[in-house]
Amino acid sequence: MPTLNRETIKANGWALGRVFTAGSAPTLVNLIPDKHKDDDSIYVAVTHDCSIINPCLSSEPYVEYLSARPIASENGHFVNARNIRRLHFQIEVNGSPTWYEASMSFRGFIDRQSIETCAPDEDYTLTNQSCLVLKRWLSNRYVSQTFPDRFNDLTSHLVANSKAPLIKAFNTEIGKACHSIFISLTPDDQDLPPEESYELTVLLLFREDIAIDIGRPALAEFGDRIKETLSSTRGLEPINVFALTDADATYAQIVKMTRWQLDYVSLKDDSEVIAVEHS
Amino acid sequence: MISNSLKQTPSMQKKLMVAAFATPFALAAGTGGFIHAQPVESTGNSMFVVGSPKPTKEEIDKARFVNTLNVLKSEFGLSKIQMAKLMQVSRQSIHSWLEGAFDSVKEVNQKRLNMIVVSLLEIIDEPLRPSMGALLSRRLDRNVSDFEVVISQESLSSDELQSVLRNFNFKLAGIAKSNELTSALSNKNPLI
Repeated sequence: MPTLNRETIKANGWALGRVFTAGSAPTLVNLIPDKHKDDDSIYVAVTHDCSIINPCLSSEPYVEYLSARPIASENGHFVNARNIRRLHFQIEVNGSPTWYEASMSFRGFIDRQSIETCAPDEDYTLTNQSCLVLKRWLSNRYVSQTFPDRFNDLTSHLVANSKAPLIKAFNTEIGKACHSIFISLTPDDQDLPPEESYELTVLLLFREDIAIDIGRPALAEFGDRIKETLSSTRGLEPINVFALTDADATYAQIVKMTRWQLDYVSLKDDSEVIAVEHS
Repeated sequence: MISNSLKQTPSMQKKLMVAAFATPFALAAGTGGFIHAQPVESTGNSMFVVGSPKPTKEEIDKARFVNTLNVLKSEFGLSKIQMAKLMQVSRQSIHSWLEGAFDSVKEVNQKRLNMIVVSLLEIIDEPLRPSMGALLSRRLDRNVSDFEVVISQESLSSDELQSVLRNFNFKLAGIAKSNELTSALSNKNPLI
């Protein structure tokens, strides 16, 4: 049974979120199919930390990678793992934060055998925060939401394109800082007739250190804006919109709510919705 | 030792004055003394007179100390354990102090308590104060642990104390909002 040297792989610096390039790991990059390669592409290892250093090659024969490309600026709709198909995240390139785009369709598995002889590219580093976002984005794909179809229909025009009211709100400076949206719907298990309304309690979550800089008044104002936007749709009755930090929210609250992936229903084709400028 | 004196705002002065004003009356009631209104002939008004036995200075200091300690309990919602941490004494000491079961108060304890209460009254917004106990129970919160480090020093600095309290209003407002969310979800069952 072929084995690898775990200590060598560790010493090379391999872990989830490490970036490799044609310069640092030519053998690995050669294994990546051409359709995932671009002149300025870099590759992020997204295999779990324990698996990537596993000495047993037959147990963990592959490294999973994501192809990422630099972009001129981030789009609020794709940051913080908000979109299940496309992610805008920051990688520090020689210490300078640079925005990159990854797509679920640009990922794959390559043979792990040569990982011992290759190393991540030290010029590229994911910050802890970027790594957390990346992990959340990867896992979000397998967490499905369960809102009634009627609710999805009612909200679809609010998120239909980049000029739709909710997308605009989440594309503001404060909106971009909101990393998760949770909704409690009443009723949560049935399609209501047109004359009845869903009651909503909405939770907008922010990282605490960012939220402290924003301040409570601005957070409350943002919550009011979201409430007003939802209220404008007949059939939606937002009772409360809370803009809280991760420290404020409790697990007991989260398990009573459903994460809302804004794009899930309406953005069938992201590329037609928002043009992303590549540098 | 206490390194700095604090500037007292009007609202803090009012709080401490209330505690000081109420002290002789509380003492009179607690020691079998009496209070009655005595007319002042020239004005037609009345004034309160505290009957014998007249409280000593030590008794007044003691009662004032208990009243100030009670501000931590009632206004800031702190538990006895949390108060003990702030005062750097045992929980049993706090219990005895609150019960008035002690002879006299050490000056160092008086000064420490005053500095803590004055700092809290100055920095923490009034409507947010009852959640202070809940905030201090967040053991993983970095600001709370910074606060605990500062408060654990024998030599308490008001500047340091005020510095570590700077984000507390933000956090306390979050606890209040979070409580509102909990109420809003009270009729909901967990989905997972």
